[in-house]
Amino acid sequence: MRDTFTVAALASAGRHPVSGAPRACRADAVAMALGRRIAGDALRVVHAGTAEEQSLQDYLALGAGTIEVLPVDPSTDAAPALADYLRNVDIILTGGNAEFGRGSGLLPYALAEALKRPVIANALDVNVERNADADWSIEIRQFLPKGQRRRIACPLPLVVSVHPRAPVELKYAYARRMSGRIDVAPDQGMVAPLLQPEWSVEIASRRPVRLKAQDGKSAHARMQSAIVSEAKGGVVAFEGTTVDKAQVMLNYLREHRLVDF
Amino acid sequence: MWVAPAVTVLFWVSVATLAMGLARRSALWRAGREAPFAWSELLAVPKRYFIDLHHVVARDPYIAKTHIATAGGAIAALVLVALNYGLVIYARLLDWGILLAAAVMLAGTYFVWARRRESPQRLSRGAWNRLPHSLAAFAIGLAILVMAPPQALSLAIAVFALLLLLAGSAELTLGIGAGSPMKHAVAGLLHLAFHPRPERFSGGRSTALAPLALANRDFGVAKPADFLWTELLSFDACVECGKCEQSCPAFAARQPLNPKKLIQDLVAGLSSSSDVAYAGRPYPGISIGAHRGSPDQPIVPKLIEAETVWSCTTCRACVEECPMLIEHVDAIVGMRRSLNLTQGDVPGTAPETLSNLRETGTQGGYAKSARYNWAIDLDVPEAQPGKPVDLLLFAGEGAFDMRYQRTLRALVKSLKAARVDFAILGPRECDTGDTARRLGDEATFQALARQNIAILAALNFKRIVTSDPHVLHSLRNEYPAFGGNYTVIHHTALLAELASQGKLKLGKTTETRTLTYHDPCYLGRYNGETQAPRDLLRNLGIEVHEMQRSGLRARCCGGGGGAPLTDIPGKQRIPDIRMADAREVGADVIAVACPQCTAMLEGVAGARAEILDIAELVASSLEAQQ
Repeated sequence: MRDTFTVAALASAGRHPVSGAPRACRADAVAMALGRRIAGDALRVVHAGTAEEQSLQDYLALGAGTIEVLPVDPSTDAAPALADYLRNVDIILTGGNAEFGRGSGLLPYALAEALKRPVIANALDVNVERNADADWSIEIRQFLPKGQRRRIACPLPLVVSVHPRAPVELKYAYARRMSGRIDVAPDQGMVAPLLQPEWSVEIASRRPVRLKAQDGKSAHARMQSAIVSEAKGGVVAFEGTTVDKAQVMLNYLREHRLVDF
Repeated sequence: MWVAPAVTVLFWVSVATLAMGLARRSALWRAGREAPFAWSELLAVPKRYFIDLHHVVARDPYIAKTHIATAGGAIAALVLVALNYGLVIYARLLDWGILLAAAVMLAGTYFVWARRRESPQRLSRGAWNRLPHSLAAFAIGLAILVMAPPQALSLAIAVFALLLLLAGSAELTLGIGAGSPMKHAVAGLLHLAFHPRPERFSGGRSTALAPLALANRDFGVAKPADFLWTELLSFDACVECGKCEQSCPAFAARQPLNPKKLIQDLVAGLSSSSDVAYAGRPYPGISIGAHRGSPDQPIVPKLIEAETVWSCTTCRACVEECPMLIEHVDAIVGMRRSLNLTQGDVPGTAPETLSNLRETGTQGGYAKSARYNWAIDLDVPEAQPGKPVDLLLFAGEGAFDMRYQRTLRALVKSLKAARVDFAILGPRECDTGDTARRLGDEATFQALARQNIAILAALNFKRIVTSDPHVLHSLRNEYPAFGGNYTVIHHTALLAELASQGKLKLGKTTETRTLTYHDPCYLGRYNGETQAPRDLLRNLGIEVHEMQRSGLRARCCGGGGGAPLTDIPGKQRIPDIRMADAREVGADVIAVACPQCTAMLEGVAGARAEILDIAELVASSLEAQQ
């Protein structure tokens, strides 16, 4: 049993989608505000990168207080270094996606994998309480599409990726930007990256393009399927292991030529 | 006889009381921050009083004459009493002078009383209603004491007269120390000497906000002691005449702002008291008596609610009307700065606009490269370093608004018709930061100003023309503090100039409907330009049917100061009120000269007059000629 729990929020370098100007990554700023709510001043804000990164100034203005910078070469994977650095932190909060660099959204998963702890995505609200065993447990309200929400309880430690629409208010105050501090953590020495695939870089469109199966239905059939709430076909894969379920999905994608492997 | 010595004693006691009161009150003012000042400014008071201040007071001839009689009579009487009784001369001739002065003063107090019997709503009551009686007591008591021959004066009458004089003297001398109405006389005169904007007295308009030294961690006004001491002094000069509340568009819309109450709350703050004694109309929707403050306590929300501070459109109508020349807008922006810079507490959609300004250099979060998309087919050159032009067109945020692009296109067509050598600023242009500054985000404003100044320094041009008075005000009046000195001209002034030089051959307009002109605050009150738009309209053969409030005293459209972004709820919308003004004079068309006014007035729901920019009227007259 412990008296207290530790919380860290990860702050990535953000970029405005139109101007490309450095700014606080919106998703991470929301995660930071949520972390501030549960941990108060004890929240640690960690950035993997360089202390000169301009967007860190925005995090200071949004109330980061002190930012710990973990020196990581921006061209490499930050997950192993972060995992090593945050080994003793109970709750690691991140945004879902970075706005700059790879922005693959994999970081929370890679981090959880490296630390061997659970990960919960799209959190809207986080509550930490003492449970029956007098230890800490966490209750999370999770975003699901179409207005649905789900409550998840989980023991510590864990990784939480926060939904960008989590109900927090971001307040930008220039005075906090001036009074905030950026501390550089000692270089841990490079840990071998977990995975280093070949990336092809292309300019991102403003919104992700949704993979959608071409259906050869007539306009009338489409209208019918929109206004009549009958089953629209497809398979609901309740049964089987996660591998089986993933196979069902992969089959669907291949069938509609949405992936080519 | 003991009467004359009694008056002498009373006189010197009064002088001592006044001096002690002044010392007490000035200790409160000195809680404020240092401000540059010189004692020699006191010599300028008569000129500032009789010319600059009287110019404002004379708009209401009744009270102007009443005040001349009351105050003039009182001062003349006091000077003569000082001579005759203070210096123990006791000359009969001077007594006649005192009688005359007291009679003039008494006549003045009668008219004060008459006005207050059915006083306009804007006037504060309470202690102010006491004034005609106490001042009359002073005049009557003084007259009886100095004129009645000693033998005719029974003891009872003498004592009665002395008591009257005592009551009147108490009103005059205790005022400054106790903070009661007569403090306005002393504080008002000192305020004229040590005004925070002395440039106002040398013919200039002085409307630029003072820059904050952000590097010194100067983040505006959090508590009353953060005001300059000269500003605290200015609040004490207020006579609660309510001219400001009468002209305030937010007050008219029943938003929770009343400039008079705001100043009185700040007086309560500087003197560590509450608003219980305030006897005027409240902030709409906020009751009186629950707020109090002290010089070192935060103003918001214990003394003034945040929504009050965010209701202001910074139109400066209150400043224009104030007979005591108080600077309400400076106070409001000072408080906004603190809320914004230290807490990031800005209501409505303003935070989004401010982050857009920081991250994209536009208010709407647009790409800067899209700012001049409306000019793509007009074949307008873009300003390039090393290519001199006469005129640089600075479009502002209106360039992203499809409605306002029509105005900009009309302007470009007129400039082409006049064969002006001009270029657009193009994708380099940043927002001027006007909105950020009015919302108190001085940091963003200064960053944008520095960017624009660097951009403009690389270009070779003689003048800047803009159709947006907010851009005009920033570039012309506020950028010089950051090293950007430009000749900036509003498009209406430029078109009027081109027409008068004969370069632009204006035709007769085809517009036959009844037309009125709405003065933008940032062109009229902020820059004093009310004539050029009217000249232009007259040259087009249009007769302007003036609204009741026009020119320097025009009513705001509600679009300034970031008010549409903070969007504090009221009972009415400000542009609806302005539209009603236009309806009153039967206008079918409202000529405008500002993108904000265009957007606000076009946003009025229901049947309304058509909104046309003057540039559009000019361009259509040119087309009609061809």
